[in-house]
Amino acid sequence: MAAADSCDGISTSGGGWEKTVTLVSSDDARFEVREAAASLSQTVRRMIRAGGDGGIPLPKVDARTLSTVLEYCNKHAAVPAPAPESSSAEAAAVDLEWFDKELMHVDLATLCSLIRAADYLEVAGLLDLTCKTVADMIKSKTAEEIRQMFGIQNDFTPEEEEQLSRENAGVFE
Amino acid sequence: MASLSADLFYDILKRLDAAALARAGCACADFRAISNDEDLWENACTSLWPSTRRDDVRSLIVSVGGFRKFYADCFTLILNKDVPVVQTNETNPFAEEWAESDYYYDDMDELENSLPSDFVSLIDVWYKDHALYSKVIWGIPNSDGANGWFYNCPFRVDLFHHSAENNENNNGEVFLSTISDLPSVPSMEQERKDGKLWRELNDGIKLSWIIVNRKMKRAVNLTSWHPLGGQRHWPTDTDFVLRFGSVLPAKEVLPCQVAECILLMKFRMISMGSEESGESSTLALTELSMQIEDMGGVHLNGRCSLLLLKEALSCHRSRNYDEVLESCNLYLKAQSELKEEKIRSEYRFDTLCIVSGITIFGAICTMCYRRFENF
Repeated sequence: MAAADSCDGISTSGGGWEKTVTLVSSDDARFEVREAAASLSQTVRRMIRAGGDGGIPLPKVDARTLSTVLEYCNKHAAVPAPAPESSSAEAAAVDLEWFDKELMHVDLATLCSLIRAADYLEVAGLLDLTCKTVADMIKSKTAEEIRQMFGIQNDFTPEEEEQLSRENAGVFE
Repeated sequence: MASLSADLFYDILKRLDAAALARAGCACADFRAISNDEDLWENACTSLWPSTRRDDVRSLIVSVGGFRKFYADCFTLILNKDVPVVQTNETNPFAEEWAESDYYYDDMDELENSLPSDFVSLIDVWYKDHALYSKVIWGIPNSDGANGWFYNCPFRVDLFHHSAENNENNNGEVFLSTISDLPSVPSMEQERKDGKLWRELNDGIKLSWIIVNRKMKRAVNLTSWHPLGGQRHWPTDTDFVLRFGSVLPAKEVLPCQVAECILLMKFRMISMGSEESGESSTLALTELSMQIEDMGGVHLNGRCSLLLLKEALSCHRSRNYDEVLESCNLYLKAQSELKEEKIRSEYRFDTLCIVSGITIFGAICTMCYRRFENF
């Protein structure tokens, strides 16, 4: 996917003329994507409108993360607005759901960088998907397991801890 | 481990249900600060109880202590382990007393804290996680009679009766068919035999009945979530009655120490549907009511009921559903034993009456005979 192509241009894809843009990650990898897909990111959409040469720089996103984000964008932009209740629309929705599920089969560190990228690039769908995935991971865990998961320290004083368990006793065990 | 900003953690915690949110809040101080956010709890409450989405209810909840407290108060169910055990093999000295239930309220002037207008009811009904019906009642309907007859009459909150009077949401406007795939019923005889619809109804229906007291700033959920029992084809062939409820503590109000809050829900079959056209049967919600009965099955009056509701606001609760269910069943068992005991003691009393009647009659006869002989 990384292409050492020049700036914004016109190229052929899938037999038709489609406008593409070039995105540049923090480690200088260049990605050429269809404008429709890139526009799922509100940040990129604003930058396209503002115009500019030499591709759109995204200094907060590394190549690995950006390629996953673009994978998501390409897939979701390819799906046309579905006519409700037609069988093909239903199949497409199922396919998309399956795709999302597969995309989320990554470790927590990757998920967190995806969340940060989705937040920075303002890809609402991806942010929702990743947050939901992490929330599902937290859901069945105890406080101690959550600490281990995020590698955080228990920074409560014994008094605070006692107060917490009193507040939650019988209610949220 | 790459960390996320507080805003992004907020986005994640926003998607948790309330119990998980509380657990996450125990992980570290940052999570604690985020999970104390009232908006997150409001989110959790409004997605659980549709009735809390109204603006007036929102300000009510904020005024009684906020959504976090409201959730903790109302997601848990009343647990009462004080159900008295009725001894079957010997006469219970209290049995008569319970059944007659002389109320101990004469010397109570605590009613200021439990005026009918201080109570707000938030009612939600679901069928298989679809919200079916929501209703908010401010105050207790029909409690403003000037002569105080409300306090001495049997207490009962009937939603449909109340709304029919106010000309809103008339009787039977809540239907159960479009959102749910109820099995179609070929005929009433068939339903009587296999009870397919009845089973679906019993499994699918969920009720929440929250009472909020504005002065005491407390709330409690009176329900058992799922039906505790019910009766099909009663009182007519097309009626289905489901019974929910809880066991309320009545330490200083009733001699038997406990009372049952009974929530009745009645459905009437409107159409049976048909299997050929794939139509599902339609049921209409025709009754939803709350009343409180003591152990002898006596319907309590308004004064007593308000006191019990007030007590219930600060009673022990539990998240353990099985435990709650067990205590409810224990109560029902004790109640039926009490009933049997009452029938037995009545029978003994009857026998005693007959025997003494015969003896007296015999004595009179003997006396008459002797007098006659003396002549």
